[in-house]
Amino acid sequence: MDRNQEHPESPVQLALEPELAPYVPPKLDAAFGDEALARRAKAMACTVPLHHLEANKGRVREGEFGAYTVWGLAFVAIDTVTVQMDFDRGAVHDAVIDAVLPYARRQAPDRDEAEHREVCKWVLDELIGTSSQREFAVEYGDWSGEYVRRSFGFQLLVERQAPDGSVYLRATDAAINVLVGALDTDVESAQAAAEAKLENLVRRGRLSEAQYAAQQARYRTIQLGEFVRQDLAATRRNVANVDWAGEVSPRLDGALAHVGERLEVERRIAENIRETRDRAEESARRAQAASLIELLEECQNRHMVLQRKLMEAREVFLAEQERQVFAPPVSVRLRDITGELLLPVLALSLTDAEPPAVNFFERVLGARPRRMGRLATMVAQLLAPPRERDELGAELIEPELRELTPYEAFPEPVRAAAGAVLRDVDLQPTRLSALLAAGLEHSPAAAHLLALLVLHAFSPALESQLRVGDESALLLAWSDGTPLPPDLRGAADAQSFHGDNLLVARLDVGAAAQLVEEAA
Amino acid sequence: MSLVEDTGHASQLIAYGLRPKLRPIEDPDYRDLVRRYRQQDGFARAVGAVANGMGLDVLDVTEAAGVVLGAREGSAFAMRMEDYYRRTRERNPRLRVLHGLAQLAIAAMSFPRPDDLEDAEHAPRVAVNEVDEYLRDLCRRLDERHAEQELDPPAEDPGLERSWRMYARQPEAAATEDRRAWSGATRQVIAKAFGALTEQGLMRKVSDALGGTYQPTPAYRIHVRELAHEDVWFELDRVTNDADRARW
Repeated sequence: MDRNQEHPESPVQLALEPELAPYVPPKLDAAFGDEALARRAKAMACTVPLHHLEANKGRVREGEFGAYTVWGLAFVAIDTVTVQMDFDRGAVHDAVIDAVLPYARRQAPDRDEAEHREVCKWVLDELIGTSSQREFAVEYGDWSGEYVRRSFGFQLLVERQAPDGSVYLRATDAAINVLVGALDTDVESAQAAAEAKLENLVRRGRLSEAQYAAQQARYRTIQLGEFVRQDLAATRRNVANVDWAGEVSPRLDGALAHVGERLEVERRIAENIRETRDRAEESARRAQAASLIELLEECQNRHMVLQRKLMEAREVFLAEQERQVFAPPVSVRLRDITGELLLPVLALSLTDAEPPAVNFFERVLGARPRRMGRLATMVAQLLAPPRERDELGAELIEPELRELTPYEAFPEPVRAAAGAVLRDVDLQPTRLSALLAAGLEHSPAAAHLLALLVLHAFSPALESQLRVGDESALLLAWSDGTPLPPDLRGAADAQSFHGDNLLVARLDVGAAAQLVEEAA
Repeated sequence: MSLVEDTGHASQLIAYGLRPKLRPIEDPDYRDLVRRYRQQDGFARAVGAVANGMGLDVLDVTEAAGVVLGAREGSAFAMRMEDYYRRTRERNPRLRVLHGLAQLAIAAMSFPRPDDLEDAEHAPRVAVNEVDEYLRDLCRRLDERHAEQELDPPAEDPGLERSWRMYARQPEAAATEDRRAWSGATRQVIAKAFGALTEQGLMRKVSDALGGTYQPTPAYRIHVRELAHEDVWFELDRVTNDADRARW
């Protein structure tokens, strides 16, 4: 039985977790008292009216508005006003309500139109602050110097009067900065968070932490680089397998945009750090700032390399297309293993994938011989001493040792037969054909040896023999132009002899030398 | 040659084929029989008949690879996965799919393009680590493609889990203390797959780099090409969702 394995955490989060770098504990001595705290308190304050909306929706009109998510409606209202401000002096009440109505309808389709209208009107009124004298006030803490509690008064939507007397709405800077700008953030974007953290740390002069944050901001880039590399590798492997238009090209475009943004952000951060470094008085701070700039420059380099690769990627695709020539397949039944076998099996459930996967496994390995037993030999084998096996389990075979005999082209009997034939040659010249015929009676090999010996006699080293004083008889062969008879150019599997029918004689060297001397 | 003699020689040739690591270049008798097969139709037919009787298919006969035999299902010479790895005898499909995927991936990396299956010169080097990375890359892409779908299987039927999700969760390599994880670690599974192929004369180890680098023999190409033709894959087409098979 298989133990159920736990599911890992969501892949998105883990992907950006930093590698195990040394842990940098936060410095606890730095003072927190600065404007950032006050700023954030005020920003938070701007959202308070919306929280009130949600909190109070149950108390108005006997809780009828409980079915609605009034935050959403509030955001729509503010967006509408903000947009109208750009095009015109502002939006009028009714126009805003009309814009919010569809959203209310979708939230509670079963309620009637009158109620939808009521809810929208209520949200708008609350944003304007009709129930609180068109103003909101929230307390925040002022930490500079002694701690003082201050009151922050603000508005979200304000009413203005046009020259013609009509009333229109505008959104305040506070509303736009917070509710339209700051809140509109992809809260799950680890990259943006990392960068925000980095800017924050740099601004506060917290450089070691800034270093850590810069490393984190790098991961997305590395991950992107990895995806691009894989895309290009897949393209090189098999261009037909890559859905260029549908997947890879958009991904590359997205990556290009991302890299462009990051380069901009890094440039900005680097500027800030340079300022910090220049203004810093302690050498430690300067050194830290310098190393942080180095890190950022490395990131920038990485981004620029990535940018270049991305721009080249299109070229790679076109080049691979050409290289992997889109010729029609040799046989209609040839398969693209990845696309048509491997991927489909991967995509199936385990139960469905099992038959084709196992089938492929068993078939690709081919046939295996079966080991069969035989009772007669089995007993002997069982009683035999254990055979040595090497680590892989195969038997170690004892090598057979054989005596090496020297290789002879012409074994002894052949040599004897050839010698016997030649012994009969004396002063009377004999034809080679006759010798060969005699040799053939013994074996083709004997005839072959005879031919070689006669050839050797064709030009005997007479002089050297005389010099040494060797006066023994010498075999002499010469040609008179007669060719060998055709019957000696034998059948396909017999020895065949071609050439001149040499004359062979045995010369008495001593007698010849004497003759020569007497003649001289 | 008489019928009896021919049959004897034909069986001899089949017997050579069943020793997959032996090649004709190493044995003159083997080589002579191969030549005879290629030159004499009658002899070739006799060999085919003997093979057929044994439940074998003669996939190809060349002087380079010798006799490449495929075992038909139910043949006495067919090896089941359990014969290679006893643990796969369990009914649980996970381990069986894992081993099957390893062989599929090795084939995919050895012959990336359909034309490679017909190219006798094509002999790439394939390494254990590369095969694992390739499979994991495919799993990542399938993740992206199916990002909106609910992919966790119902608790009472783990067999419904998608195969790529199972593969992605397997560790690459595991320490041997935990013997259970060890048998499922992907790099070890792939190394075993290469080992089995080498045993069968289908791969040749080239070096120990990258977890073990191998090169396919001519016989491997013939086996994979044969399998790629199989009609069983047309059934696969019917089972899988078209969206999954679309170009990725």
